[in-house]
Amino acid sequence: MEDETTIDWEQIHRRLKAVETAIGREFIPTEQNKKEILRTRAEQLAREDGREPTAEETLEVIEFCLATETYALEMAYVQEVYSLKEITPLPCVPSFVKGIVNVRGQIFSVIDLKEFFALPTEELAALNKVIIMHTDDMEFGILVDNIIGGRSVPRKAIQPAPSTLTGVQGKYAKGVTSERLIILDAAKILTDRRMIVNENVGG
Amino acid sequence: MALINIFSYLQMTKMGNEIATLEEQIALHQEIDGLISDPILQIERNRQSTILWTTILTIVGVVVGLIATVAITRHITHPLRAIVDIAKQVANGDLNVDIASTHRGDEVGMLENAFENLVIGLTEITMAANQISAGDLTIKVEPRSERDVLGHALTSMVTTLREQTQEMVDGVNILTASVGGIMAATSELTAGATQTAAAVSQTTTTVTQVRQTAQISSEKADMVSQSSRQTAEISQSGETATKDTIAKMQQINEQMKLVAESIVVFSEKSQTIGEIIATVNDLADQSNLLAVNASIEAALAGEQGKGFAVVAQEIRGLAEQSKQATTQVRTILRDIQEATRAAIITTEQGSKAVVSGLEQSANAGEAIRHLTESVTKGVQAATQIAASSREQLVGVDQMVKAMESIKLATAQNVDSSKQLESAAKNLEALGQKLKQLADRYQV
Repeated sequence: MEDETTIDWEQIHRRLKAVETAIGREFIPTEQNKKEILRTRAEQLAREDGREPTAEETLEVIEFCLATETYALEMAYVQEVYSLKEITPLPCVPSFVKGIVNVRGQIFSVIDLKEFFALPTEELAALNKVIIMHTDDMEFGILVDNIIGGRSVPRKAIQPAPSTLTGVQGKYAKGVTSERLIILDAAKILTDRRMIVNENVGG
Repeated sequence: MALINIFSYLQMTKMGNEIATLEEQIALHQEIDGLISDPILQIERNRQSTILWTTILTIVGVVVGLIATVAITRHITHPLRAIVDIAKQVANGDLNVDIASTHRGDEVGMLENAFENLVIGLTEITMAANQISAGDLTIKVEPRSERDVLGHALTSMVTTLREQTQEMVDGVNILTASVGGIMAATSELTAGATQTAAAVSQTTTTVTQVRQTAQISSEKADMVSQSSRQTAEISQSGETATKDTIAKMQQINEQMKLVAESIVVFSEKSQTIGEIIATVNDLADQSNLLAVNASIEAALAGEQGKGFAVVAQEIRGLAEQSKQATTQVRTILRDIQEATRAAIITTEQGSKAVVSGLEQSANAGEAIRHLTESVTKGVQAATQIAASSREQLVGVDQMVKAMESIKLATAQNVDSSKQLESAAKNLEALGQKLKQLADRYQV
């Protein structure tokens, strides 16, 4: 009973001391840590085949999230990725045109691919990213939920879009990898007629 | 008896007289003899001549004298001797004599008559005396003559006796009545004294019991006084303890406040950590984007950008790790926040408990203070009770002593009244005896 009512301050002080020392100490990896890290890295390196894939054999893409799906765009059409800070809405544009942004003095229009693909939309999140795409005569940004990063996809691994991908998505899909990564046809999107806005207000 | 003696004496006197008369007669006789002798003497003087004559005459004289003597003896001496015998009887007090009267006209006859009268008188007087001695004072003694001294004396004696007896009877009656009154009063007195003694005895017993009760009361009062004094001390120490408790509780409350503030500060520090983590996360995001952009640039550079692309990939990996680390930190921060909230809630509860403890301690203190006041009053009352009990005990002791004295006096009273009663009884017995004596007399 005594032990239950009396607080073991000794133990508490000891534990606090341990925490203090742990916080105060700089992180110096022990031999064990070092070995672990090196082993992990070796495994990663071992997994990649030793052969350097050529540009012809692989396709450089940028992965990104859109709703629940993972999509990819050819890196050749990507100029830059950009963390969306503010957007200026534009009047008299289709609903998928969210507005315009200013990236280092350049003005780009921003398209919401979810609207474009008729996917379920969410409110504009603060951490939304913009992928700025470009061809020779066209450049605009697309709004995505998150950017995963760039990767190389072997061309062989790309299969034609399955029949389950219908509608707008199917129309713009270039192919699907075995990891269910939908590679979008950037050229098609960029050259889509809908992108050319010619609206006459009040006309 | 005296009367009888007197009678005897009188009879003897009478007989004396008779004897004197006899002696006179004897002397006369002798004188006669002398007269006879005288010639003889003259013859003597002429002795020689007359001796013969004398002798003859003497012989004749003797013979004549003898014959005369025999005759006189026959005629006088015998009746006289009978009278002498009677006189002797009378002198002995025997009045039962038979005087055979010869009815002689001579002195003897007269003597006989006188004797008879004497005996009759004596007998009458004896009868009267007998009656008097039988208590009959109603008799009348007729004096035989004017000069009957004895009769007069007897008459006056009877009269005097009658008067005195009457007075005595009256006195005895009064005495008897008085003794009855005294007896009744004495009986009442004795009964009263006995009742008083019983009552006093009961009262004494009661007073003794009261004394015992008073003793017990006094002891109890002392005990109560002592125990209430102890209670007062205990309640005072209780009051002090409660005050200490309140002070400690207030200290605990202050410390709880400090603990709560420390926890809040700690929580705010956690918030700062969160902010820093957010910054780190942002940095990681930007690093990621930068890595992507770098890889884009590397892709644009073609073959020359290959190495750069690897670097960019590595940077991207680091950014990802940073992001994961920030997520972990955020989770930990959330845990810390929850623990902090729990700590705050616990501290709040503790503080509330301390506050209610304070209130209760204050209430307890107040209660104990009231208790102390009551106990103090109780102590005063108990002390007073003890003092008065002691006084009461002293008073009862005095009462016990007084009751003992009263008891003693009452016992003496009872004894005295009993003695008085027995004396009265003796007196009554005496009165009864006197009355019986007096009743024997017919007045």
